Amino acid sequence: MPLRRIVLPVQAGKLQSTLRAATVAFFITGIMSADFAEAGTITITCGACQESPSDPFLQYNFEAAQRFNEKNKGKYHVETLQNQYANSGGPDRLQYYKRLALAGDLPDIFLLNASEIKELQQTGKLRDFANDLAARSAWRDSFLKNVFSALSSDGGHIWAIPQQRDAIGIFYNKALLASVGYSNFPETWEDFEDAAEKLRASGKIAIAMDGGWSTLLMWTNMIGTHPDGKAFLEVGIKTAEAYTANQAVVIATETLRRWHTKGYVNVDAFSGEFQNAASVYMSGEAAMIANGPWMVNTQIKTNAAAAGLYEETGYAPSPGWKEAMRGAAVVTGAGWSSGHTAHDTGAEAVLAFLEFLSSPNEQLVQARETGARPAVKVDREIMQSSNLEPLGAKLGELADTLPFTYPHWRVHAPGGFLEAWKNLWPAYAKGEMDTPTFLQRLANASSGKRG
Amino acid sequence: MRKANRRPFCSALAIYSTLALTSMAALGPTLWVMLSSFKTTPQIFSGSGLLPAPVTGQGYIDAFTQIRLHEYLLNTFIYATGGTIGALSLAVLTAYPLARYKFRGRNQLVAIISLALALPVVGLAVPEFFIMRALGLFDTKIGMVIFFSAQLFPLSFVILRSFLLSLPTDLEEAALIDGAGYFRIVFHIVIPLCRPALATAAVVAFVIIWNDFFFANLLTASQENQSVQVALAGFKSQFRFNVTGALAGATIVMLVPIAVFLGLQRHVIAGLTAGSSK
Amino acid sequence: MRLQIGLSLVPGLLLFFTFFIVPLAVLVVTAFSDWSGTDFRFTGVQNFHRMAVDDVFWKAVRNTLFYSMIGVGIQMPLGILVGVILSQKIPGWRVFRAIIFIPWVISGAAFALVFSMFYNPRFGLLNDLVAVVGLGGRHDWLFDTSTAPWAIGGTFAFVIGFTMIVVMAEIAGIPKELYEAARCDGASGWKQHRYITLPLLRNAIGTCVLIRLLTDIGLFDVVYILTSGGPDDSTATLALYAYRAYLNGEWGFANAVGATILLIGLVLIIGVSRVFRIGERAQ
Repeated sequence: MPLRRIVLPVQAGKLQSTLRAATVAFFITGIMSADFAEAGTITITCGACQESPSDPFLQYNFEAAQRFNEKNKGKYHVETLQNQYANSGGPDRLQYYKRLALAGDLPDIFLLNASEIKELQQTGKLRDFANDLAARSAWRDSFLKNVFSALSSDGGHIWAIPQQRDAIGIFYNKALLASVGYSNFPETWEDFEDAAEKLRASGKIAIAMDGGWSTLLMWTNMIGTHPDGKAFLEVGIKTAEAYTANQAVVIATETLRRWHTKGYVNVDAFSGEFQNAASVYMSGEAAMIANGPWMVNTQIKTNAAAAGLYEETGYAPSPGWKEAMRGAAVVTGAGWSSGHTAHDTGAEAVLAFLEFLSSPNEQLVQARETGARPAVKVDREIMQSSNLEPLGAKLGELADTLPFTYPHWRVHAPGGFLEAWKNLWPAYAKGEMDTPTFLQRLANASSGKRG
Repeated sequence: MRKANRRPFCSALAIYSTLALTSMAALGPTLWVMLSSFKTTPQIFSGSGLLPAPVTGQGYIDAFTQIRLHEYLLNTFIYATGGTIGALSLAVLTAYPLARYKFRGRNQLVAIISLALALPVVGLAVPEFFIMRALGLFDTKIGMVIFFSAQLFPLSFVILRSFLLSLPTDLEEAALIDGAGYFRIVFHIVIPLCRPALATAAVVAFVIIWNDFFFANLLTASQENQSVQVALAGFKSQFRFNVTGALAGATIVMLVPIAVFLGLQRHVIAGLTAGSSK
Repeated sequence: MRLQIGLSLVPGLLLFFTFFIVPLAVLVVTAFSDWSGTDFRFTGVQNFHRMAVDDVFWKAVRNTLFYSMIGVGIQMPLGILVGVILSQKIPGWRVFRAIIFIPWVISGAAFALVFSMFYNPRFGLLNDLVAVVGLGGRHDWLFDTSTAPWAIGGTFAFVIGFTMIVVMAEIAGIPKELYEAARCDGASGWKQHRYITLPLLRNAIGTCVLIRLLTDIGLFDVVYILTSGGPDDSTATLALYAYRAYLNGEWGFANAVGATILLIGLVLIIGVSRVFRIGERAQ
């Protein structure tokens, strides 16, 4: 009705030129995305091999794919898919791959972490590498022990080839810890809390957390250094029963909450955004943050860090519940999965590329460029002479001698765990439910159990 | 006398403070973030100072070099223009006979299409995904253009049909007597006459598609087909978060529809009021 | 001629059929099934039963209603007020109309990014503003169950451009003589609006309320991006609840929720149309 009242000037000229531009743009993009791969070459797609100025992992993958293509010219070719979630490792990435799996459109090779593998293999669209590895025993035996455990499921299925094997510790600002009298990183959780209290009193943030990944690493550390903890992190975390029954979990959860109520943590510790935690460590306001060794190259050494931060940064294993009882999460963080389930020439290309990536040479190049430690056996002397990032390398060696090593939370947790944690943790930490309720709801929600 | 003077002053004060407060609440946070896009990363994360000091354009450089904003912008541009063209051309062809000719079922058709305008479409998420996949249109550019054409079809239809109903039929009748065919009349008389309504519908459709997150998120997967809105949401959760780049990107993404609105204000306003009262 | 009319109708109707009618049919059928995209099994009303006994579903319903109430209780009155004020063509009205309308053309995704910064307890502007008023503290607006729904509501409570525009267009159509007659009878400015403007706006306000409600029951973007429905599901909406089920591969259940959303929409259309007597002539 109001249209009848409205008299509009004719202004379609502008729109027409816009439309023309759009049509042209549309055709150009159509032509550019055409595939010019050589005939006779087996081409496979990679969802985590794109060039990246900001992410050393992707950049390494990209360069490795170029090397592989050069070496196998005319035979195999790895084609790069642009993928926003290539190496982001959050819930968005899982959702992205789920959609691709539902549409039957997973890349031939791409990176997944342990919990994503657990979810995605249920779609039946992931390649099971068990037979491939059995048929190539030399390749299988080149890997370090236990690196497949996080990437496998019951019944001997192997859903990914490990990319790295890292010890994950806690970064700390030496000057800040020294300012409250700790010239060495605290050995026990008691000392840790004592240091945290003193840091708080001096107006500093003791430990930076994000409500997700980094918070859960500290949770993992407290559980993993408890005698009952390893069983939970390896098995119990999958079940709905172990959460409230395991003493280590209860103690860790309550201690973690106490740090929040006592104010040892940054005020924006619940968003689930790692960057909120990282930014306070990077600015020198926070004394500690838990993360993997890759953070040195991806963040601490970049110009986003406060001046001199890298020199002030130490990297320590987790404190223990008793003296000389420290630990660290030692894990295969991620692995290469494949959506190519057939046994054909495409599979040959996939396996050739994966064998190439897990050769000791490539693993060392990766270690140099990203800070991630090799997943395969590399001669110790070669390792020491290959100029690896010292912080990560030192913790990696130290980890082999620690009383406790354990997988981190993401390795065996059910697929819905992180989302459930982010949903419930803020309410629990702010005192809106008691520990048994929180843990039981966390267990139920993350395993998809209703009610 | 004095009393009488004070009253208009007071009411003017009340009126302008209401307007100022509302404006601030409406646009304040957005302006703050736009300003912040010129700050350095440390200044943003420390929250010190309202104005950028020092002023830096690094975020805008990063937005194009690191985040590759232009690729997403181009995708969204393709979807918005393609979807608008698609919706409008089909709506004209459908609205004309339904406005001018009488046949069985006409009123029912009009009612059904108009009712679709009031559908909370998010409820249809899964079936839409299923159909797009079945048609091989999932995660393709052409698929998104077709989908948005369909999404904006009811709105364009309603705007155009009510405009057509308001037009006199003299010109068409004259052409008919001169022996012009149906499509000749549509293309040479009706469409030129409809230009005002087409412009209105185009602006509104463009802005709606430009801003869509839900279906762009649901129906695309690979980065090369991702819309800029989906990319925006991803900035926040990306492992390597470039905050200045993300804010600069958000600013650019917001400025496009704002520019469209400010430039074509009359069309937007006409389009909204037309779509709202059928 | 008949042929041409048919040819002219077909493409549009085909598209409409494919993307509105078919999905609707799929939705209605699969809402009563266990469906994951491949396996399909009719399960009767089991999906709806599961919804009814799920606490999270009811939380989502409550939150969705809450957001709708913000729409109707804050956006509407404020939009009408500003629309009426600006219709007086007071000096600067064009500027205010533009400023207040702008948020309406900003996307939910961009708004989410804006507000994730604005609400941040460490560096966000909101806590600074609150401190200026004298209420110190570093409140975590988005991740505290007591404030989270309000924080989400705050992202759109002041997006009143649409109502304002519709109200202004409607007022522009009211004959000036009505006001002049009222003035002669000695009615004050306020009374003129109360007894002339508002009743004549009934139709337009009803339409705005309806569109607002239909938008709010489908609310997704800001919630999904800002909180994913947390903490403790205090911000989850029906659309988000359905989306979670979809991601879990429970398509049948997701569609049962989707059907519920559409059903609520239908009830709203009928209800609001009745209350505001939309379509009838204003008295």
